[in-house]
Amino acid sequence: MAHRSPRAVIAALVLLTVSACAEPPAGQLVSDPYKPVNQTVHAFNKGLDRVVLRPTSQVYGVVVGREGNKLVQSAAETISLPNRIVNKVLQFRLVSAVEDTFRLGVNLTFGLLGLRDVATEMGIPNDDTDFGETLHVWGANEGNYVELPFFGSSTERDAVGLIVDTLLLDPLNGASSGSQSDALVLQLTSIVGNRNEFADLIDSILYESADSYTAQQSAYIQNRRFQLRQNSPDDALLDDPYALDLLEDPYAE
Amino acid sequence: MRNNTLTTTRRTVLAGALAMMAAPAFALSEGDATNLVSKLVSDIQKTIDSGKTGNALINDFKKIFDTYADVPIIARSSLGVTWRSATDAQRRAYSAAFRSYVAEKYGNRFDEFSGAEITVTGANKTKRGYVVNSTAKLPSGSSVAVEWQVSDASGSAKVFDIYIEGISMLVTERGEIGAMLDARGGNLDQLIADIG
Repeated sequence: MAHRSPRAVIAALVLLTVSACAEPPAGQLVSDPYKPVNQTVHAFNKGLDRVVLRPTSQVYGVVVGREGNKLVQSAAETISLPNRIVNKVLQFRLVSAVEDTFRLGVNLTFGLLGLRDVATEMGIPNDDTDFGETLHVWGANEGNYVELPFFGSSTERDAVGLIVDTLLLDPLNGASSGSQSDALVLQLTSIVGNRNEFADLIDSILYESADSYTAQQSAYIQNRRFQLRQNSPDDALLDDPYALDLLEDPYAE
Repeated sequence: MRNNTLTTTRRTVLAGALAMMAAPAFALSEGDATNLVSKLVSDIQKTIDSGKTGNALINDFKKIFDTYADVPIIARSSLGVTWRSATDAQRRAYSAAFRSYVAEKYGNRFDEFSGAEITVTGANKTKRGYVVNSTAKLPSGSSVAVEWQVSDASGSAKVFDIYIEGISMLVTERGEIGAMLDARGGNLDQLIADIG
């Protein structure tokens, strides 16, 4: 009788997200009322990176190498394709959903079970997506900034997206526990591979910036908004340093 | 009648003057903007491929930065509201220090683009000029979107911001410089001494 399934709870969360409204305060990149908690989580995540992820990725870089990492990333992407297809249908991007279906078929067959990204070599557009983007397409605002343990930077909208992607839209939900743990190992390996591929960038944010919390937040939010914009940049989103012209002569010494 | 004519003339003169003031902002064509970025990209690629390291590389980036970027505007914007309260001497000292800071930081970072193939793919009109789109294809197989904001508001066509996968250099540096100022209790002279 008490049939309150996790799905109902998630559906309620999604509805809340779509109707929620949180605009960043003037002069701030993103609304961040949870900053104290976020900073604690950031310190934990940064410690985790310093002690586990970064050293592991350095060993990975030496052992697996650039070509090996390409295989890992390609395989990890292939198993994420069913989720991508579902999200694109939910976003009414049917052409892109068909392209991804084709990508899945081609990479699983000619790409040796996804180890080679034949579809990209053929010139098929490769555009990742997730349920956070679906919520965006449905009209949800990003909400407040959150830093999640292990997962890192996110927003309220994208955190709900992550829950839906993981619990409802994971194609391996019905699969055997053996193939589920294989998939998890592959996903973790691909995270280590990405940490190694973008080592300079991530190190500069975490260890060379004056304030790694703010630097990571700024990079994440800007990059995420860039991913979500389908067309050319909107004037309103571009930084305009000349706007201060009204206040003073920019070339005055 | 006389009054009317005078008003008309005044208006015409005023309109003419406004048009002249506004003219430079519209003189930049899409071709100018893409040509500037193509030349800049080819200079960057030559520098990366030269195999230079350390100070020689950073000096080359300083030259590129001076040639192609609207340095006064970028420096001013990176300091945010603090610029307004700074003295003329501080502004000059900060601009010089910022120039070295950027060349050093990004000169080293451009190493990541070693072996990359940068292609200009198009441009979009903005209120300040154009955003020129390009793609950097990295040896790892990833491609990175690099967008260049170009304006001639300074009097000649200059780049005033770079977006790498949507991450603006101006926004990033304003945050970074702000955090460095906070760490120094808002002491601008100390910041200038430290980054110069």
